[in-house]
Amino acid sequence: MNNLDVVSMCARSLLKRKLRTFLTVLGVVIGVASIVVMISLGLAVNDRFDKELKNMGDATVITVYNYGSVEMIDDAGQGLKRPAPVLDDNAVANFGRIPGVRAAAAFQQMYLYMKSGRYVLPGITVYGIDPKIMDVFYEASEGRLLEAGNDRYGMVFGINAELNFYKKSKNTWYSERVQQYWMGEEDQPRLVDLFNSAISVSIDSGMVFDSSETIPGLRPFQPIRAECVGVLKSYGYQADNAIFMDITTVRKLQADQRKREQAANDYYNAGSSVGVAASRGARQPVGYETVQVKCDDMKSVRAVSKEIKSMGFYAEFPSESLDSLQSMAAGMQALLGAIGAVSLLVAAIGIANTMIMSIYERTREIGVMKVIGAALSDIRKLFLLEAVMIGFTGGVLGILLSLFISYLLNSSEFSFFSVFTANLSQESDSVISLITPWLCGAAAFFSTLIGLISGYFPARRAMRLSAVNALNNV
Amino acid sequence: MENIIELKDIRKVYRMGDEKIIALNDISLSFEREKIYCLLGTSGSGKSTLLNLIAGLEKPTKGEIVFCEEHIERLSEKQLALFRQKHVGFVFQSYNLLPTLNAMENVTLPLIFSGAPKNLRQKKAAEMLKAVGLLNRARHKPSQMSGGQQQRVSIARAFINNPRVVFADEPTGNLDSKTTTEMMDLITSIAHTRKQTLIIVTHDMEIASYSDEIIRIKDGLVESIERTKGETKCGE
Repeated sequence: MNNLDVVSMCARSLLKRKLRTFLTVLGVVIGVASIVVMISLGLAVNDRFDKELKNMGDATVITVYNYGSVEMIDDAGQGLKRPAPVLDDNAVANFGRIPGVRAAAAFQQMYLYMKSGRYVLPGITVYGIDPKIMDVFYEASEGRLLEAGNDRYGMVFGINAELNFYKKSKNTWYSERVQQYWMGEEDQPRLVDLFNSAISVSIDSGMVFDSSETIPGLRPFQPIRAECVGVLKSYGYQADNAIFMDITTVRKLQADQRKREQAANDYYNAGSSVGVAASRGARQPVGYETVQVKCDDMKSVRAVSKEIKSMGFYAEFPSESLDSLQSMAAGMQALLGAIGAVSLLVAAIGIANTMIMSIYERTREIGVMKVIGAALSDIRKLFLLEAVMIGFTGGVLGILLSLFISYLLNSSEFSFFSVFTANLSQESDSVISLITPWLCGAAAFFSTLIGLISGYFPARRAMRLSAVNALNNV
Repeated sequence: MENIIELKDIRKVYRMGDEKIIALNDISLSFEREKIYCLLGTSGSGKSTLLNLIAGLEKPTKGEIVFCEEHIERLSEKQLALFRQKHVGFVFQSYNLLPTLNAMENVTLPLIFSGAPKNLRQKKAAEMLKAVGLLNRARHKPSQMSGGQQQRVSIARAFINNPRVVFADEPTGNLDSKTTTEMMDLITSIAHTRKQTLIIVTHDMEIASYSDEIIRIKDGLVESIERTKGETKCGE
């Protein structure tokens, strides 16, 4: 018996019993749709986690802070038992020796004001980094990275840092381009010709707002003329909206700033003994603010972080904060998946039941086919294929139904579902339900497989029917 | 003439709980080529059991069945299916057409099982339907045809494979007398023209008169074998 004939005979016998076939297929459709939708919710959550991770920056980088680790708070929750270790060059060298670490670099962070022609940037985070190992952490998308000894006033912009410039006017207090960027218009034109413009940089907001206060006896800060030498690729929200300079320059600027703040304090607090005492206490802090540790790969991140924490430092890496959320979401997904699996199981039982009924009903027919020369394998094929057709059709229709449900979920943003899916991100492109081609393929394959499995025993039963008994059965 | 089927000491015993029922008791028979036989007997005589054994639908408890030089009692279920496909045609009392297929498709069914290409099937089926006078009903489903028409389709189906032997089990049991005559004329003339052996099972003497040889079965034994052309010889 050739395969085309088997298919055509199966299709006919399914079409002959339309209502029953429809009901059985419906069972599969519901089963497949429920499991696909449940999985799609999980996929959407994972997708969101991935995006979130990307926004948090390089996943293989651990950031170490200069305050002590959490473990140093005692059981009663009372302060630090011992002072936080100093985050100095020695500590940086120690981090570099931990297995799995590619490099460790000190970072200093400060807030600076910039101006270029008519455009102003009233405040942006500037990171000081050692130019020698900048290439371990970053790559430039335009221009180049900082070069050791060559870039005293050289700057490398984060990929979106330029957006923060805006044309100075009376009523403008922020950059509209930043706002539009977050609204989804990611292609914003550059206003400042970064590589051909002089950029004035100051620690004093007065350069931008023209309202400099002067402290007697203190010369106002002379803005530095800096130049942009490069723009980075995207490294997460923080780095994308910051500017990088040589750490030596940043430390000098910080020292200058501290000196001025102290002078201001002394001036304003003259006569108040408390104030004087407080300002005298402010000394130059030792060590760096943060150190970034680049690991070889994702696998070593956790171990390295543990090692650093055991040295008494407070360390963080991007995926850490997501871990607990992710395991919670995974538990929820497993539960939803189980519900879907149960409905698919019920559908499988439905197919088996339909096939057994069909064999009872067609016992005589099976007998006739056997007598007039159907091979045993033909009989088995006929019944198996019917079950497979039910499974496959149900699978395909189930996928269509779940695509529709997915569309509804995504378009109307049910807040009910965001509870299940740990809605983290407020991004406009985040979805509640994500059905990938891979998921569709798997659903079609499994529903067909379920048809095959649930049709197997009924088909074997049909095959083993005795022809004579089947014929005598009325 | 050479024998197409030979039965040697065939015994068939059914078990009904503790009781043994002897359906056939050491029967030996031979069937010649191109002849029409009739197994005549009342219900319960064992004639249907005998037919089932010869057609390879059941296995004898004891004895040998040689069909076209093949010991069919030794064949496996799988081999028997192939054997029936090649050598045996069937006409049933209740027609037994598949309700989902039309007349043409029902006729081609044995060819479908043997995996013949579609154009060959169509050609042969058209020939057979023409022979039984139903070419104009080729696209009708069994439910749209009368009993007589359904039985014609069933006859066409039995002969399409050009089998060595065609079995007919009470072929007219469900038909009125006029149709019965038509049907018997049809089936015997097709068997004659195609030079096929026909074995009819019936309890009706009228039907038996169409055959060359009548084998009377009673209580699992061959009671007599008589040639309808006058000669009568005694059974063993």
